[in-house]
Amino acid sequence: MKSYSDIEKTLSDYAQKASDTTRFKSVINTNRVILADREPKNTAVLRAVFNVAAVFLAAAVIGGVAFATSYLKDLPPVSSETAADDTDAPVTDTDTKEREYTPLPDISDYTFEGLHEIEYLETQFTATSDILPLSEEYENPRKLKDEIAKDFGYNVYLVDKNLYITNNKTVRTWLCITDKKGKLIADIVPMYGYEILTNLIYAEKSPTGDPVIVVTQMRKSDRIRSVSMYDLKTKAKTNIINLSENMINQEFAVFYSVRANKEENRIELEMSVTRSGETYVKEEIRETQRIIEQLRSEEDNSELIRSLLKEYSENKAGLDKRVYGHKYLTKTKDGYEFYDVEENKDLPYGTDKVAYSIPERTTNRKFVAVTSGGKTYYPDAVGYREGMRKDGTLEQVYYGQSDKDLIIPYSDDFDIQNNVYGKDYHIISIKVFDKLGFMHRSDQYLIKDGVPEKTWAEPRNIAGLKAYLEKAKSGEYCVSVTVTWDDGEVNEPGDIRYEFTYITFLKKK
Amino acid sequence: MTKEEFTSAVAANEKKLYIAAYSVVRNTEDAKDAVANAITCAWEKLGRLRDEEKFDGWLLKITYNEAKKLLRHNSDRVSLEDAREPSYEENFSDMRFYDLLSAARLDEASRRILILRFFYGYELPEIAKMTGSPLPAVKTKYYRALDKIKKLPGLQ
Repeated sequence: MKSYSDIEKTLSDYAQKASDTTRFKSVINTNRVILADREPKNTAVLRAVFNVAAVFLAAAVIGGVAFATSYLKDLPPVSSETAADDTDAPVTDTDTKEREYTPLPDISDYTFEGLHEIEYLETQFTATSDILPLSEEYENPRKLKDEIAKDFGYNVYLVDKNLYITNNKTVRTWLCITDKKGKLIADIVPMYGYEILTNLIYAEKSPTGDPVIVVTQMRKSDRIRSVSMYDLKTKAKTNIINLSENMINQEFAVFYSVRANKEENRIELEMSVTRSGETYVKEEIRETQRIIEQLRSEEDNSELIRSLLKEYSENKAGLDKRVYGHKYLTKTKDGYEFYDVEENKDLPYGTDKVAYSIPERTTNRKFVAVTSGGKTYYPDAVGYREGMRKDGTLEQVYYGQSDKDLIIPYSDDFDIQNNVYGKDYHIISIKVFDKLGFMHRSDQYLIKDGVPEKTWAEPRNIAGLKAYLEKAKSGEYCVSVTVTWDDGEVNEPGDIRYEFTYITFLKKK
Repeated sequence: MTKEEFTSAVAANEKKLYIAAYSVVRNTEDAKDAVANAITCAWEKLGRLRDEEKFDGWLLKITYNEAKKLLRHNSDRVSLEDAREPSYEENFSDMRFYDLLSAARLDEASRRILILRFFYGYELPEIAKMTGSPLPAVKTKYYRALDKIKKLPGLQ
């Protein structure tokens, strides 16, 4: 038996050989790496928060003025001074201090006729020039659902695949809209790289009378969200909420999402503020400006942020939905409601014990819901255990927990749904195991219309899973589903988080 | 950290990052892309790095994540499991180090500790500081990892 030092010597030798035998030309100073010609954001927290306030206020002014002048003719008039500031020029702290406060026009104050929340077909395909006008740069687009598209008048494609732009490989999501004859109407490109488009809403008639698309853009790396509106007739873009990257720092982050209220012909904007695991969901945008403005003058702002947000949330009980510590806001068919935590004393994954200054706590959430035979099942849960160390750092340990005894009677109406509010849900892969534990590879066995699909999109296709199970013999089948909600988590740039769940179906004759 | 300091710090580790990325994606172009994306991402997010002493470990983790992201995006041709299998088809370099880590089925945290230890030459207390983990935890992971590698066929 080798000793530790023998193994260390082996590893050390192998590492040295790997280094010696590798030929590598630096990617720095090539077009692979483009470092913006500016200083990185390694400023102090005070400076960051000050910038947050300044940029938010400026964005509110700029976004508001643009919105008002371009679209909403019935808005109260704005001063010529603020209208003149409707540019993309950087906003300095001095500018913001001297600028007169202009309330942010709320998109939900206005009516939009013919609202549709845009959904996409699961199936993805590689576009060719006869489908989309810019074939080489569009791969694996998703198309608007057929039933919506019938009355829509446009073809909408969501494109999410690597694009090659001036040899600098970036991952982006674009929105491409064509008329029924294939003519390009709008080509909506996110402002930043690593950005995806979510919460797409189409309105047949905006306050100006033109059809528009309202879209939330989210940066994968830090989940900054902004809301924009695109006029399909004039091709004008209006930033309703335009968050600068300075809006996120170590202290807190602000996210937005939009919903179509078809009954009232309104587009509702929902905002949430997150700070160190506490999330406050706000219906009103304006009130938060008060909080951020107060932050500007405080030197020690971390405690102030916490107290202001907490006070604000508690005082508005009944109006706001607050998620604090142990609770999560979940999306249900009837709306939004809190999901209570379940204490979990036996963590499945052994972790190193850490001395905590406060009692550690454990949070679970059921992240997928499976419906079958008219019933809903929650086969799996993920959660985290968190605690504050004595040195003040927060430790979070994530784990998964399965209900291994749960067997779901298979029914033709079964479906797997996202049960996590506020996050985009993507199934990465589906694998099917039989009772003996043999894996039926999803890319070989998921069949649609009798034809095996071998595209990247296919393993994510629940329809393909249904097709397989329908043709399968009676018995038990364990389905492994891998899902993710985000490609970039807040704490680590570029971090990818997957969750696995195993669902056992019982198929009877 | 200025742009020059950043570039210099990256240049010192670039080859190691490339090897780490290659161990995930197993092809040269994607490995270069992963490194390039990681460098760009690190520059953009440099403000989040509170302690510059943690720079090496931080950049390594970003590189890993970028490589995994590319692997996922390219996985229409090859599954994640398949891609992790050792492959010498390009006769690229001596990857036995990473093959050992793969064969031992080490988790990512343990891999990172071993890479920082053997590729970068950091001592365990430095790695603990760099990763923000308690030293006993790092030691535990380190020796558990060595135990797993020790049990591999051919190394006993």
